[in-house]
Amino acid sequence: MKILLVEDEKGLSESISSYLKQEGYLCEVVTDFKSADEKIELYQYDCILIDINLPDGNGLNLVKALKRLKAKAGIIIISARNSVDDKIAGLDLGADDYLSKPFSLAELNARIKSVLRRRKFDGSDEIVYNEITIKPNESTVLVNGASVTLTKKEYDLILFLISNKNRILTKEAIAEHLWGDDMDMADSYDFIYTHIKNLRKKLVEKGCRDYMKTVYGMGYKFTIE
Amino acid sequence: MRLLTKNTLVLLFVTLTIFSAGGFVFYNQLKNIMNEEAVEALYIKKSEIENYITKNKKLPKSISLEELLSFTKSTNACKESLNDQIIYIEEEQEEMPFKQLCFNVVFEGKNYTCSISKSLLETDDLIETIFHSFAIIVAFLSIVFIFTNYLFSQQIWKPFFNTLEQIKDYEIEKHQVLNLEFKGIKEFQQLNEAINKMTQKISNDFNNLKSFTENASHEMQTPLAIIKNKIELLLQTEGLSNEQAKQLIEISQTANRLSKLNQTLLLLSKIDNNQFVQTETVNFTNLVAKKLKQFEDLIEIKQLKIILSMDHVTVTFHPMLADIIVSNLVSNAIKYTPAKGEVKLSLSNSCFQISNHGAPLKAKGNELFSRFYKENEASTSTGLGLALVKQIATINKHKLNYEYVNTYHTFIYFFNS
Repeated sequence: MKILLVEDEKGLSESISSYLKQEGYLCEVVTDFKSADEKIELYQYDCILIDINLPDGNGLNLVKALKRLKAKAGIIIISARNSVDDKIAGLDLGADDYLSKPFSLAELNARIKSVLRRRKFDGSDEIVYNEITIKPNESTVLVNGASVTLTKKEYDLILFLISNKNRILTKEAIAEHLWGDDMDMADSYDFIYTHIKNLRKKLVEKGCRDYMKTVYGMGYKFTIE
Repeated sequence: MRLLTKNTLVLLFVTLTIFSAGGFVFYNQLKNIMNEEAVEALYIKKSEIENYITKNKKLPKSISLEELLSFTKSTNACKESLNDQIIYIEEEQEEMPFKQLCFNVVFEGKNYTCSISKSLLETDDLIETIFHSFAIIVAFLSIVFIFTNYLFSQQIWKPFFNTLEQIKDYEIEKHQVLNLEFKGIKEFQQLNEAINKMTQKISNDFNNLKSFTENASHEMQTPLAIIKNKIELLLQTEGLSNEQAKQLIEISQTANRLSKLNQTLLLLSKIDNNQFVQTETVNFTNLVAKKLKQFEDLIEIKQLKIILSMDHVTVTFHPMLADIIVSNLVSNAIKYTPAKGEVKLSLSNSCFQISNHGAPLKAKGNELFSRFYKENEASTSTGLGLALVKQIATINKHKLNYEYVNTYHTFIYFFNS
């Protein structure tokens, strides 16, 4: 999977590309509009991450260019401006998703995966992790072929955990993914524990191994270890 | 007071003063001239009398009312003298001023004192006449003046009132630049020119400020994003001790708090600058239901009892601001209600009311709504949530009230003032 990252801020592009490389993506980084424009003319990407504010142009114009080229790549806009107008403009132009800074890398990773699924397989592919199978187009989860009845939050949670498997996910990142960032409830993340507990119970009941490990003081990790 | 009225009054006052002073001077001048004339006439009379005596060898008789003539025998020749006299005239039944000339005539070898008195025009009459004529002139002038003033003022002030209307309609947040015409009266041209320039500058400054706040936010969010992402990478590395991990998580949470604070401040300044002008019909009933759904996990965990009574309410509002109001008030109530407490929400066409059980606040009066106010200094909240709601109420000319009755905190957001 080839990803193009258009981001002028070095610190940020390093973190993102490092994370994405760990995920097994091939990640190319460009830091300005001009080189990004050249790259998209020449090469095919599966997903393109575009920062709106570039030193020599507006990232939204790259979205326009991609649409003109009828590129198949999924497009995720990254912006420091948490502006509704930018978001609407970006999505109207044909971007698949919009993330405002600061975001967690786990969140970005989950969004990329979701975009790739929609783009590549029209959402019809299945995510398989040992005995767990997730069918995103039906929003269903199967354990050893038997369907597990999950609430919307539990479904979102397992999808997020599997998307970021083998990584530590902080409670903050999980809360942000499940409730959005307007939920200013940093004082208590107890409700995450409740969802984890319920999800674990439902999976284990169907004969699933317990993959959800609590990492003391940090968060949770979905792993086989 | 209208400028026109003021103007007219001042001019009337000035006219009256000038005419009074003028009348006084005129009266004195006239009086002097008449005195001189009278004296001259008396001397002419004197020589006529002397001639008459020489010619006719007898003393002349008095002839008219205006001139009194008398001869008195005297032993010595009297000296010639000129006096002012007030004489009571029976026919007129009033005292009248006279000018009297006394001189010596010799008739048949004897000395006679001859006195001729000539009546002067009465001062009263004179003043009256002058006053009347001047009053007529002043009245006439005033009428003409007021009439023309009122007649033409409409015409003359028209460009001014046009300008005034446009300034009244001026709204900075609409990025308007006024384009007033310059023609006609020079002062108004200058005014319009100055206003055009001013609105141009205001618009530029406003845009600069807007882009500055946007850019400032951008510049701050990016470093925060870097901090956050670097910590995330660091957390994935092997062999972190629990203590290290805990500290990293704290750094990450603090960066998040800073980012939240930054975004809220940006939002506040955007609201201050009235950058949320477009409104649409917002369905508050759906909005409240949506927010309660969003917070259901918290409600469940704290085992809160929600008592909800809602009418179907739609309000013309900026959708994002409506979201903030409901979100902040609901999350505030949920956050500060003790476990197993009660939260009452009611929504009607006039207001959105939310009450929650809890201990009384330390905050006095409206302190609760001030920026960065925190009941508990150690809290990680931004202290801007209620300030934001208050600010939204203010710019929309709505009202936000707080009261504490029977262990219930109640916030009421009125959809009108």
